[in-house]
Amino acid sequence: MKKEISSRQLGILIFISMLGFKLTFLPASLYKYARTDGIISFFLALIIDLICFVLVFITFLRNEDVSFSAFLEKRIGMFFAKIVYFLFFIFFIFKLFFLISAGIYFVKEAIYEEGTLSLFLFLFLLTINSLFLFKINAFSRTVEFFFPMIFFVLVFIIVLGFLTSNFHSLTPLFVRNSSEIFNGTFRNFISFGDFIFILPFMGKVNFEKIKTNVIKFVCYALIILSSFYIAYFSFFKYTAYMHFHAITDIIEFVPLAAIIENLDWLPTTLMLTIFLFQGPIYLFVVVNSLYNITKTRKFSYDKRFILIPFNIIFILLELLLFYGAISMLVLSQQVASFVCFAISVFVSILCFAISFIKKKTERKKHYIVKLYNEDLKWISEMKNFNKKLAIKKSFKVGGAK
Amino acid sequence: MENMLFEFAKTIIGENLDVVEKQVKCKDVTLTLLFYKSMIKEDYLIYGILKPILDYENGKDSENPTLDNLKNQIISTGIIEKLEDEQSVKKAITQNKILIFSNNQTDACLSVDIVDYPARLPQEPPTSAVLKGPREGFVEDIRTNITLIRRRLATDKLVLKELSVGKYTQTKVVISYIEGIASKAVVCSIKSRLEKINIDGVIDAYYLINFLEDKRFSVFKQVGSTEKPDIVVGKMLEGRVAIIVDNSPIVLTLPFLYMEDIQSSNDYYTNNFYATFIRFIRLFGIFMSIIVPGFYLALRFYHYNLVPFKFLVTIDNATQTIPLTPFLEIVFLLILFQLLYEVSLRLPQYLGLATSIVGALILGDTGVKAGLISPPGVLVIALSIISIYTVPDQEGQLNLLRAVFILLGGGFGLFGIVSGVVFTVGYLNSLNNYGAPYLAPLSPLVRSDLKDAFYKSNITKMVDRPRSFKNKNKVRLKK
Repeated sequence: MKKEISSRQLGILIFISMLGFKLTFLPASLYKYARTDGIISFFLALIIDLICFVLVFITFLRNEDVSFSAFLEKRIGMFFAKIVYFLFFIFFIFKLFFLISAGIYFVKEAIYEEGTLSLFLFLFLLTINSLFLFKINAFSRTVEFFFPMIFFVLVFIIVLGFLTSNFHSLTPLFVRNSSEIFNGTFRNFISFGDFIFILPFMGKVNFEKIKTNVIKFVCYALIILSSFYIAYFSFFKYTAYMHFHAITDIIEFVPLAAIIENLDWLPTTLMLTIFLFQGPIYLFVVVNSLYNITKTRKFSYDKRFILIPFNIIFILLELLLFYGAISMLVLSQQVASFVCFAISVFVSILCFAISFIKKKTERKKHYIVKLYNEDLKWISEMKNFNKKLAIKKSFKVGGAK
Repeated sequence: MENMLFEFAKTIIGENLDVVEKQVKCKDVTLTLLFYKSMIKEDYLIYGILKPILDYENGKDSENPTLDNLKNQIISTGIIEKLEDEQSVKKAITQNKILIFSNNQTDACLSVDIVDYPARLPQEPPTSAVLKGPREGFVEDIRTNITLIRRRLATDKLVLKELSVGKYTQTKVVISYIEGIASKAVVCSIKSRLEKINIDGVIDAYYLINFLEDKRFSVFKQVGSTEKPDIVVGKMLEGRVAIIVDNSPIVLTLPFLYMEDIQSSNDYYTNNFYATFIRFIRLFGIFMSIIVPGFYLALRFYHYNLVPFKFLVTIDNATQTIPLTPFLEIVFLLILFQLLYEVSLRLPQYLGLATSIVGALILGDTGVKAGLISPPGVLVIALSIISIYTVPDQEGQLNLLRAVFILLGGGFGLFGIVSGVVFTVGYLNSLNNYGAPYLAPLSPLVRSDLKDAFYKSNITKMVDRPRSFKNKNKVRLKK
């Protein structure tokens, strides 16, 4: 199978997918449900996210040369595979809709107070469609190209925030009851769980140094997010609910940034770039899932055709619904959060489980082969015989190790 | 007996003004020389061909001269070949060689290559002037160009493969590379693409560029070009393939990566830290040339809150009386500059000063005083235009990109510019040049190649050949 992206690029894609809404709407939204304990809600969600990520990543590592469709179809059959694709489709279509709504809301509130939003929607869709059409290897290289800039701008903003934060204001914690904290976690889960996108990337990634690279970039993202939330909640404290554009507001309100003067463009540009990179990731999974749902053994087509109805529906939806921007955003967040939580947890566990169960049955087959055959030539010609596994486990195969 | 080859040659050569048919008697044999007098060196004809024949006539040897005698013993100049079929005769005529026919040997003839024509001497190319380092540049004569390369590469591994391209021009195209360093797959791919070309004529190396590009409808340059032999040799030593075209002072190199244009031959003949600094300036120049006018419009239309207050007041004061909108003002200034640029290129040199005066004083200064254009607008366009010339090889594509970013900045503001930058980088990443990612070593990141791309490292640290594109024998410096 052709390896289209490197492990470093996969790590960077995970890094980008872990940011996004978490740097804009999430902190204020967390405060809405859990008040000053919003930071605990955040870390709780992050822990759930990380556990699911570990399951998904193990599944991913166990299937180096298998595409996701082959992985599902061979292990649970075509019908159940389509159900899993459907879950992916629902998850990422929510994400995409939320991203576009959030993106346009951000554009409207943070930079254009008098802009014609339909034009911006057009440009947004045009860019993410183009990045999708450039294919996954060109897209991941593009994200790789911008990564150092994104990283350093984030670090710069967080350092500025840290330098002027009063960490005493973080305490006291746990002043709210647990139901409010959990409510904060689950009602905002739409901002989490993106990493499951790596499953449809199975078979496309070069596995060289994959563990190091992926873990490295996940750690970067965790450090940045944790620092950002500590800086945000200690800086804004009781006014956190007012700052819907978290990262932009840090720069706007931090006195140190004011000395340098007019740095607003920096976080604004950063967030626009991150939104533009998250779009194609979601779009890739949506298109791929829809394609796998609709194709049959006899009927297949060019995936790119899916973009046409997709764009028309999105333009109509956004234009019809967007002008009540905040209500739309809140509505989609509340409805989608539970769905997203359920899907991301379920899909992570399911994929991990089926990957594990299948390995056991494969081993059984090898034992049977060993029992009845000692001739190397004959065995190597057998179907379903994993010679690599046999050698690894020191099985004697016709006298050779 | 009728000499069929001679008759064929006469048919091909026709009765043109510069055709000479000269008969020389040698013993009992009549030799006929057929050639274009405008394409040969007369000294060689007289002293290298005619004189030895006459010497043989007057010599003690009583045997009649055969073509083999003439080839091996008598004629003392040029590259001599014995031709026995019509195709090779036709080829020799198109290559302007002298043909020698004998009346006692009608099944063959000789061709002697003493081709000569006026040619320029190697000079410093105007597009790649250097402060220090070699000043020689390629010329239009392919033999001189090959000499300039071979003089720098004293190795038996240097390969020069000749092809003829162009139905009427039969232009010599030479594929040159170093065996054992250049990838054979790349060489074969280039050769097959050149062999497939079926065109009337190739006047210059640029005629071949579209045939060698992977994506033919792209505004971005995909084939390297230079006028300097030291650059070509440097690239060949990295594993690239050079394509030398007769009648062109430009030598093409492949595979081409975007970062090559950021490098300059000056960088290799100066301090590493300074070269690195200059590379950053060039990258900044590219960014400025594309973004500045669009960003200015975005600030004027949408994000005036991002401009420091005092500066905003200055801009506002300067632009209050301008009848044009900021967008039209910028477009007007750009068109004005492009007009002046085209005029200055085509005017005789002695009128250049007059154009500068008209451009700078009359159009610029008077335009500002008359209130037609504003000083910030002029400043923005001047800054953008000057920045382009930090990377002169990319002038065309940067001009086009700037126009696109003016539309994006004016129409969509900062979001338009961010989308444009992301789209452009995405598009560049979708380009592959003979298997090499176009933006390598930046994306995908090839750490070892950053030493001579993003920054200029010490030459002792550049142990490996570039890994961004296909080549062989990776180690170039053994410690």
